[in-house]
Order: sequence, then structure tokens, then C-alpha cells
Amino acid sequence: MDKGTIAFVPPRYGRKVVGGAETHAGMLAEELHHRGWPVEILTTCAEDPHSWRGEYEPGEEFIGGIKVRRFPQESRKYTRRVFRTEQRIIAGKKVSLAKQRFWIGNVVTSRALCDYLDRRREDYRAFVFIPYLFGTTYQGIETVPERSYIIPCLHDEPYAYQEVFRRMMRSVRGIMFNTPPEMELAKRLYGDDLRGEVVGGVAYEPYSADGDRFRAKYGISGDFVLYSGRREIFKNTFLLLRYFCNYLQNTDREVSLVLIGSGAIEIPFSFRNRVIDLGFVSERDKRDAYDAATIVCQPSERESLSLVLLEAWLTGVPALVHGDCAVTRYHVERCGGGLWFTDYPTFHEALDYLLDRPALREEMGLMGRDYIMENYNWDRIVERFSAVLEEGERGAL
Amino acid sequence: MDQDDKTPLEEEKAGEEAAANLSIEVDDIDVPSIMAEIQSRVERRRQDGVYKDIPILQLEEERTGGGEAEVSLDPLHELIFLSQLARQYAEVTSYYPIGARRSPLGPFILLAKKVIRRFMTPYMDALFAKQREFNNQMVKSLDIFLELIKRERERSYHGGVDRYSAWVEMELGEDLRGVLDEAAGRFDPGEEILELGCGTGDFLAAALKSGREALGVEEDSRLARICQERDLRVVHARPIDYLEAQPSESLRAVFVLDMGERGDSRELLWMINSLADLMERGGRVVSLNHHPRSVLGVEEAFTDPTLIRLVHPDTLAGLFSHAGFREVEVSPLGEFSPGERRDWVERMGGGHGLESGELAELLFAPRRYLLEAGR
Repeated sequence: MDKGTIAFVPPRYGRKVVGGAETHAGMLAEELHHRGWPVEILTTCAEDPHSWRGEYEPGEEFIGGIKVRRFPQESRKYTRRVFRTEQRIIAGKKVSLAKQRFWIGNVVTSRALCDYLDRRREDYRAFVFIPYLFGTTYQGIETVPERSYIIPCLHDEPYAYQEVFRRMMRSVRGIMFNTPPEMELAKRLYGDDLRGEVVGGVAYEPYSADGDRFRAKYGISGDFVLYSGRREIFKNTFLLLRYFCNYLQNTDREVSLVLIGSGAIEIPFSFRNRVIDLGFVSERDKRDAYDAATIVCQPSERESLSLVLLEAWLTGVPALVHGDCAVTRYHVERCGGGLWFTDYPTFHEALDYLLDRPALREEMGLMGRDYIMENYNWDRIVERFSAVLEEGERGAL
Repeated sequence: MDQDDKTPLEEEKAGEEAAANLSIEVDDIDVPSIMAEIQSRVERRRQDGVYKDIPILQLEEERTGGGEAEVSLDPLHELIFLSQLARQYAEVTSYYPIGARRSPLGPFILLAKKVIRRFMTPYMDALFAKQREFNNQMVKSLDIFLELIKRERERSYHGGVDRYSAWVEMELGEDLRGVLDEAAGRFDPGEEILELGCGTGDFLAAALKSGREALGVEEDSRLARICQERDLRVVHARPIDYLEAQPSESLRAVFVLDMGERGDSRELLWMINSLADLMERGGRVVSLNHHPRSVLGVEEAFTDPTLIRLVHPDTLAGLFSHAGFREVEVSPLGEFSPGERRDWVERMGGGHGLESGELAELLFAPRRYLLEAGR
């Protein structure tokens, strides 16, 4: 097998960087590195996904044994024109290709990174860009299409419908999808003859966790629903909070909602005894929380894999997901590891259903666990990853 | 861009092919039929109005009866308040002062009232004695109940949720009155002091008492409300968010209690660096921290379950100097009184040389230190 260097290209990367795609890139790169593949990360100096300011120094460093090359990014010019274009895209209105190019050219770009890709293209076997919605990915693929692969982490969202992304997806050598619904979405949007396969994302090894330790540490007793992840409108965190508070008001049931993760959320005063915001917790506490939880809720409608769900299922906890998210619903339908909701009444009844049936919960959790163990292991993922690269190199996909 | 012109058969085939990538076998749980059951239950119960789903602010307004939420929505806080109220009214008596307002007839009315009371007293006393007994029992029950809840709170808050406010509500915090007066005295009279993380406002009160203006910033809404109830000026915000919103070189006097001893250690560096940007020339930051030198002081400090770490004065001074503060001075505060020393020595089982000498200097080193940093 050709052992040329594989370069992963996320828009930001570092120990302090929190985000699904970045975690995904890091985990996959580290696994390949441990298996003897030459791997590098090419990224910008940004840490914060909102300001995109240069928090890191340009240059080289090693993270987890992998060389990370950082390039300065252009500061994002969020002018009125960019804002208006983005608003039109979000509203689903028609936006010309020139304007789409102008807009993506303002979603974190790095001229220095593109110059490097152009100059050193022969030194790498492949450039794996992740995720699709950034200028670094778009301009990077435009620079070295003949060696480009993409892990798109695609969601069904207005951005995905833009022509720039159709052209980008069709110009790469191969696309590595996380799940079949993501691939179906891509084929629906960009054409059936798209070069891509389901690679499966990342794998999780079983880990030890102690739910009692979590309950004792944070003084939490009784049944609780756990939400883990960034709190933001796109993740439907506020929808979950609203549904849960209404559920408490309508049922007087003794169940709590525990929130862990970064981002601000205002808990209504009169619900603070039942909605507990622990903020950002350590990795150990997070895993203990999964183990302690009665149910894990993933309300996001925009997931391309949902690392939270995969990680939670490993502890054998059932899940409650949003039925309008093709990916999480797909996971639940395939493995039987939980239920889904599409509106408040179904949320109310599904929660009741799970809370009333401890034996079913346990069984669902085990189904979820078996599903992860069977399908998300590194041997299978690396095998599929390698196959996509080889097929791309043969140009046969 | 949509290319959705496949036949149902093709779609089904494509779905099967895609699914073949991930193999799963569901043996016992039929999720689609559970969801169908849930859906039919929703249809049946929808008419009963059980699915009331309203925006969260409206829901909060319904629960709190409109207006602003009371601080005492926390049951423990409510109970502390009620128990204090009950104690005030528990001691009922018939011996109210008797008076008469109309001057010409006043003395006669007064006499009549006194006579009536003289006749009624034996009967009223018997009635009031029963009432007093009942009230005392109720107050005692409330106290026991309160004590039980406090113990439960203390146990359950040892990990982390709202720990500081619970700690303060239990009135278990340190008595800092003397050292806070001392800290307030380090600022110029009439100066407006900003306190970051003002808690229940003890420093703000000390600053006002000593003739300074003071504004507090407090993240915990319960503690902020307690400050408001004490008529102290307070902004409900995270201190780091508040600082971020201030223009450069706009602050003159800042006080911080227990700087860097709670929360994320990165916040300490962030706060010092941003203070360096925000302080005007000649402005001053004063920080009152636990001194790590005193063994017994450290032991006392860590009875507060919210404390995570102590910051050595040299370290804190170094951080301020590194951030660009020109004059940084540290002075110890909070000596152990002779009585406290004796108590500790007794508690430790006595021992020669513990009350004085070199060993005592280490054991009973000052509990706190005050750091003053000038920009």
C-alpha cells in the first residue's frame, strides 16, 4: 500500500477546540497514526468558531504525536453584504453562484494554507477536508481537487443546497460519509453518481464509567434525562428545555434534566430544582454522566453522525432523539436503542413510555451498545477509509 | 438541484444498499410499533388538553404569578424566611400597651380599658398560654426541619451545583467583617469601587460604611437578589462577561475576594490580563485571598466546600507584575486571636510550643493576605 502522507484539513484544531467535526478528524487521524500511517493535520490558527480569531501561533506543533501545521487565517469580514447573502441562503432564496462564492470566501479562509497545498501537493497522498461548510474546505478543494477527499458531515440545511457545494462535492476524488442517510441526502442534492461511500465516522472503545460517582459528586438523585453537547439553537437545546419544562408542568413527575457542555443557557428560575446546568465537565464526569443517566436526549435535527449518541450508547443508556433528524432516527430505528419525538405531544408520551418501563430501558440501552460495538470499530472504519482512498486513486469510483 | 426522480422501487433498493453498510439486528424491541402506540395515545389524549406546550417565558410567568421571580422560590430560602417570621410572632401576650387618643375623654377611656383587661386577664392568659405553647412547638419543629434540610443540602452540595449560594444561605461562610473593613480602607475615600463576584454584598456594605461608592457584579441570581434586598448596587452578570463589555482604561478601583480560588484556573489569568487592559493609569486592584502558609487557616478555609485551590501570594503577585501592573504589594491579614489559638491548641490535644515560638508561627500564620496592584 502506498504510504504517502494523509493530511486532514479541518478549519480549526487543538486541545482546547470543542466540536464534532474537529473531534472526528482528531480521532481518525490518531487511529491512523497508531496504525503506522503517516498523518498530518493542516489547519488555521483559530480556536473560537464564532470570532475565528488567531488564538494559536502559526507554525508546527505535535498533538497526540501528530504534526499539526498551522496557517494564519483571514479575519472574517462580516460585512452587510455577507450578512445579507447569508440571510438569503438561510431563507432558502435563490442566490447567484458569484454571490455564493463571495459568501463562502468569507467563512474562514486561509490564503497561506491554499498556497501550501498548491506548493506541496506532490508531497501528500491525499488531503481529507472536514467538514463541508467552510472556506478552508471549499478553497482547499478548488486548489488541489485531484488529491482531495472530503468527510462532509452533511446536514439537511439551507447551506447544503447551494450550487458551490454541489460543484465542490462533484470535484473531489472521494467522499467519506458517516451514515447511509447522510449519503442519501448527498445523492439527492448533488446527483446519484457522486463518488462516495459510507465509512462510518469514528469508533468508540468500551470505557469504564461510574454513575454513582457522578450522582454523589453533583448531588443528583432520582431519574434524569441527560443532554450533552453545545447549547445552541441549531442543536435544539432550547427546544428541549421548553419541552421538558412543559412536561414537568403538565405531569408533576419527579424527573430532572441535566445539561452538560459549553455555551450559555438561562434556566427559568422556578425550574432550577429540576433543570440542572453543570456546564463544561471533565471527560470522566461526562462518561460518568452517561452511566448515571436514565435517558440521553439528542434533540438536534442536524447531525451527520452524533458522537454523543454513540458514546452514550456504550454505557447502555437508551436515547430519545428528534424524529426529523434522518441520522439519529436512522440509528434508533436500526438498533432499537431508544425512541424519537417530532413535537411536544410525542416528546411527552415517549418520555412517559421510557420512564415507566425500566426493563425496556435497559434492553434498549443494551441494543444500542451492541450496535456501536458491532458497527463502529476501527478495523472496519479504517478498511472502508482505505478503500475510498484506493478507489479515488484509481479514479474508478 | 434536487434530483428526486427515482421510482419507489429504486428508492427502496437504494435504501437497502445503504443500510447494508451498517448491519444491525433488532430482535426483541419493535421500535416502529412502540412509536405507533405512542402516536395513537397522542391522538386519544390530545383532546383532553394534557399537552399544554407554551413558550418558556410564559410558563415561568404562570408559575411565578407574573412579575419577577422571588428569591425565595428556593424552598430552603423560603423556609429560613418563614421560620424567622414565625419566631417574631410566636411570643403572643395579652399585655399590650393601652392608650387613648382623644384628650378630653382619654383618662376615662384608659381607665375603662384597664378595668376590662383586669377582669379578662385570667381567661385570656389561659388562652394565650395554650397558643404560646403551640407556637413554640411549631417554631421548634420548623427549626428541626430546617436543620435537617440544611444537613441534606450540605451533603448534596459537596459536589458542585449552586454550592456557593447554598453555603451562604446556610450561614456557614467565614466572618470577614474586620478584614473587609481593612480592604475597603485601602481605597481612597469617595472612590467608586467595582467588586467582581460580590456574593451577598458584605464588602459592598463595608465600602459604603467607610464612605466609598461600590458596585458589585454577581453571577448567581439568588446572591444578586440578596444584595438588592440589602439596598446595595449590583449587576447580575458573569464577572468575565462584565469585564469584556468595558472599554479600555475605564476602571479606577476593583476589589476581588478569593481571586482564583474557585472556578476554572484559566479564568484567573484571563481576569488579571483583562484587568491590566481595563484599569486606567493610577488605578488599583485589591484582592483578598486565603494565605496558604497557615496550616490551620488552610484547614478552616477548606471547610467551605466551594473552594478548589489556594493561590500563593508570590504567584498572584507574579501574575499581576507579568500582566503589566507596576506596583504590587502583599500584606498579611487575619491574625489568630489568643482565644482562637487556645481553642486550636486544645482541639489538637495540647502540646509544648504550640502556643508560641516558631512552630506556632507556622501553624497560626495569618489566614489571609491582601494584594494591592497599581497600574
